[in-house]
Amino acid sequence: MNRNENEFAQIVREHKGTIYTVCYMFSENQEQVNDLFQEILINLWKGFTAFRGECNVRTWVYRVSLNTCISLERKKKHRIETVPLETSFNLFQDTDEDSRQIRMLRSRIGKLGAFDRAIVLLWLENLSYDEIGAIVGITPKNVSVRLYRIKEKLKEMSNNDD
Amino acid sequence: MEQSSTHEELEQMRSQIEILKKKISEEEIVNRKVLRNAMKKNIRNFNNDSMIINIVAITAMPCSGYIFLDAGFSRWFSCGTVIFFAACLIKNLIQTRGMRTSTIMNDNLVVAGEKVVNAKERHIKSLKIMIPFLTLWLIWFFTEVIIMAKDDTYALGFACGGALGGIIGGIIGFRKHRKTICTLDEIISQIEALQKED
Repeated sequence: MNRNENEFAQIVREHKGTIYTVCYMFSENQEQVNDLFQEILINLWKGFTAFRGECNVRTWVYRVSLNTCISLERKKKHRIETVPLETSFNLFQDTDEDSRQIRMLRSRIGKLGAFDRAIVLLWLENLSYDEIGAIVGITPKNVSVRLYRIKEKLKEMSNNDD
Repeated sequence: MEQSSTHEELEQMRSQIEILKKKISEEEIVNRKVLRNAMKKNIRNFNNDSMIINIVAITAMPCSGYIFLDAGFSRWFSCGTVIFFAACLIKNLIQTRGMRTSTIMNDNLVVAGEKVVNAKERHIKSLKIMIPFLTLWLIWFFTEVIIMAKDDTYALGFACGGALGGIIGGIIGFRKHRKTICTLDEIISQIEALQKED
């Protein structure tokens, strides 16, 4: 690997959790997670040379990951030549308590529209309103208004489920 | 009371995401093969459909001219068909200008969404020009077939094939177009909702 490739591999390893979480929240099964994860890696690699550090690496990784998931959700296209990821779990099928909790979270977030799903996910990841605004492309004030509406929506959905 | 239940729910969501993060952090997930696989695919275009259309149009230009002439169609019709494919190719190249993944995916979600929406809208507008052209071409095609059919039964095969192709293509195109409109409306409404509060 050359210097560029090493640097890229380092970024991916550092942010694998971020990428995996985004993929999981936008997928319906493990195969889709694999597809999305690798589509994101391709887009990160394509954008790596264009990325000149205008924002921090975490913001950039979130932008590319969410844009990929949202655009693939629009297209509903899947890659066929996916390499399996190195995981020992299947969050869609495992029956342990942790996996059940994670599925519950996915099911709640999954009821929201793609942009709202992105905002609430970033908020849950403890990003500041400024950072969320920079990733989504809205002002921090708008982020807070939007989050309020999303919380209302989640509450309404939860009431309907009861 | 209601507010405290919402708060509890959000706290539960936060703890659930922590569980997820912990679970992921214990896994390797990305191996060398996965990374290599991603890095070798650096030439894929944003829109694979466009790439297919370009290849079909470039291949069809010389082939259609030759095939139609050989089958007994007029020289004018063969030339018209080649021009039609050339127009499709130019339209497609203009439409996908600036739609490279490397730049779009680095944008924020709203800007990226707007770029995709604009490209799709350009595509819909271009259909308003291309559909009358396609209709004219089909009328011309069947006129030529009818003229040929007077003294050639071979032309009947052309007519049936053309009609069947036209119907199947029309149905697929219409369904794809409707789907595009639906998803576009959805994205536009989400972007509008986000910007409205600014």
